[in-house]
Amino acid sequence: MVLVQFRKGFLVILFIAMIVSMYLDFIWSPPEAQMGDTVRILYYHVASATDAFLAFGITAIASIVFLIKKSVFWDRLAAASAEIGLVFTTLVLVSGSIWGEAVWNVWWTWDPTLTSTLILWFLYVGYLLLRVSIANRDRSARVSAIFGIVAAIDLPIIHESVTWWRGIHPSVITASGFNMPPSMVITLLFSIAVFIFFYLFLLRMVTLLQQDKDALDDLREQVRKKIHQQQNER
Amino acid sequence: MYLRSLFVLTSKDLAIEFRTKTLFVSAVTFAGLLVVLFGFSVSGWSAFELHSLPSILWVLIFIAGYLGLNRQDDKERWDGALLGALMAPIDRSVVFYARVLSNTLFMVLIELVLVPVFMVVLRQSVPQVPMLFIVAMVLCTLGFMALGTFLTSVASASNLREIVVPILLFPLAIPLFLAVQTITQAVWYASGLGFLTAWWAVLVGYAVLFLVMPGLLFEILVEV
Amino acid sequence: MLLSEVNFALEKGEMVGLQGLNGSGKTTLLRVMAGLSRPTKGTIEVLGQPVTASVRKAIGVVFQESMLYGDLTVRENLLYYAKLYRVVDPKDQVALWLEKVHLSLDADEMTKTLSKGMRQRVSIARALLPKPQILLLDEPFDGLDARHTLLAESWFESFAKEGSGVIFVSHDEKQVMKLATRRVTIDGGYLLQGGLT
Repeated sequence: MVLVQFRKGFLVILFIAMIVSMYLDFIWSPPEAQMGDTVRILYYHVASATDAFLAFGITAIASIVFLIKKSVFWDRLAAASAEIGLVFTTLVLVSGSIWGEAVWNVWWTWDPTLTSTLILWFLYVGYLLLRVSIANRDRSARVSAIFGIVAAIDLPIIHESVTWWRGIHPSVITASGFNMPPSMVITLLFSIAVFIFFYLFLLRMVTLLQQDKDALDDLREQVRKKIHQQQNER
Repeated sequence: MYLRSLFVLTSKDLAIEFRTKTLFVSAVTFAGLLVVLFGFSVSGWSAFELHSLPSILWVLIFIAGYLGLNRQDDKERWDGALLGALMAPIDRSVVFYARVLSNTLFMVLIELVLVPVFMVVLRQSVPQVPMLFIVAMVLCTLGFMALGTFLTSVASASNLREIVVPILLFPLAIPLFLAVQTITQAVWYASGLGFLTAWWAVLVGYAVLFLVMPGLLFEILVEV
Repeated sequence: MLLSEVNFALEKGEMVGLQGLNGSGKTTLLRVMAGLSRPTKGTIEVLGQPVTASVRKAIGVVFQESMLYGDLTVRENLLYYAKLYRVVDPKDQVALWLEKVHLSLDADEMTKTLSKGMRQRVSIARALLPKPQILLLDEPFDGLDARHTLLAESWFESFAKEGSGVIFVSHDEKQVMKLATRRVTIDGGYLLQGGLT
């Protein structure tokens, strides 16, 4: 009961913070000198990206802990984090693409970070597909954990190699070099903070949902066994 | 002992492939067909545009390599053949290394046929630094096959195996792909050879990483 | 399939008949003992230690899969396993077993062309060739004709007499009565009757 109340209180604060964040994003913060109002996409883009990479990190850490402790809790956490991570990675790609079109007139650019994010998206899809396509729960957890860790080890290598690769190609666009006034920095940091708490909230909900699903499966299995036993006794 | 088991397992794979030749014939034919399709696409290109084509070779090789992995896996699934090796009194990592070794051998053979076909059909010159090209080719194939064999075991219990393996494999192989295509382009025209240190490191690093790590994890992976 | 509480020990020279309905966990138990699966909880010990490479050497299995390569001949398959188990004089031993399972004439046929019963005979030869101390048999008589069923029964019995422990699963009640020195029934992972130790 305490947990539920805590969740409610948390939810109310989060809701208010989100409205404040929207106010800061759309009304309070000034338009940028060159990009104008399109800069407002940035607040969502960067905040989503933070969540996307945070979620990936949490999946990797939970995977390691799962392999050591073998407790289902960590497996559920890894899975939930990946599911949420996939959603935020999609948001990063979509918002990045829209921003790119508005500012640079291209929907896609092989910017190293953007490219790594796209690859991250594929890794998430692969991870989740792998997970759901293995019927044996125990094995699914073990194998997914191993893949989660390997992917996390490989992602920095992928990022580095894409950066080098860009280095020898003509670079059309550089994202660096625009200075933000304090009001924009505050708005951005606030957005990121709200998104991180939103992620934590989602993580808790999805983990609980998965826990209920597993409990339901166990119950179903028990009922099935009972029925079998009764039939055998007859 | 270890090497003897490795030899027994690998020579069994070679015996099967030399007898049936299914992997060799199907992979070469399929990749050859892709070369022809590419040929249609680039038929109007100028000599200058054709200049950047050698890097495309690796798209074909990666696809053919994935086919090879799949075929090897199928062969070992038939009537549980792989289970026999897993229950044998040998270190289970040998099973992994034998698979990587035979997969790499097959793939290099396939490449030795495919690369000349590629050069003829797509009107490419011979690589100007052939030795370096062959070294890069073998290193890349070893890394790709080590990674691929590892991921095939990761996904072996998946009921969407055929699609899950490439979705896991290709994103993780991107550094390998970028490295080998950059090196290929450089050694083909002998230009910018001095700027490749990082890429060679990627090729060697991948081979080492994915030969060592799965060897340690294989035991956990194969237990059902 | 989950095995919940199975406590039982196989003694030397025993021939245990493992019984249970479909889906009761017989196959799972045998796979755990062979070191192919690990128990979700608890431990499994064979010959007093966890199932590692050196223990696996002492285990012979006939499972529903023949574990043979379809594109190798019968002889090549047996030679392959003989070498993996480091059998002394592999060629002679393989020839001997080919004779025993009446497959000398088909020794150079591709395994994929064999009938189910013939493949089962190769599978039995594969399991017995390294002279295992423990035999795990999951429906070993599946597909065998009457004559070879009798033969196989006699081999398994002589292995038990020479001091090996044998566990077998068979759907044929009469056969279990005839062969087993002890019967064990499992249901849903619970050992119902038989040798609790």
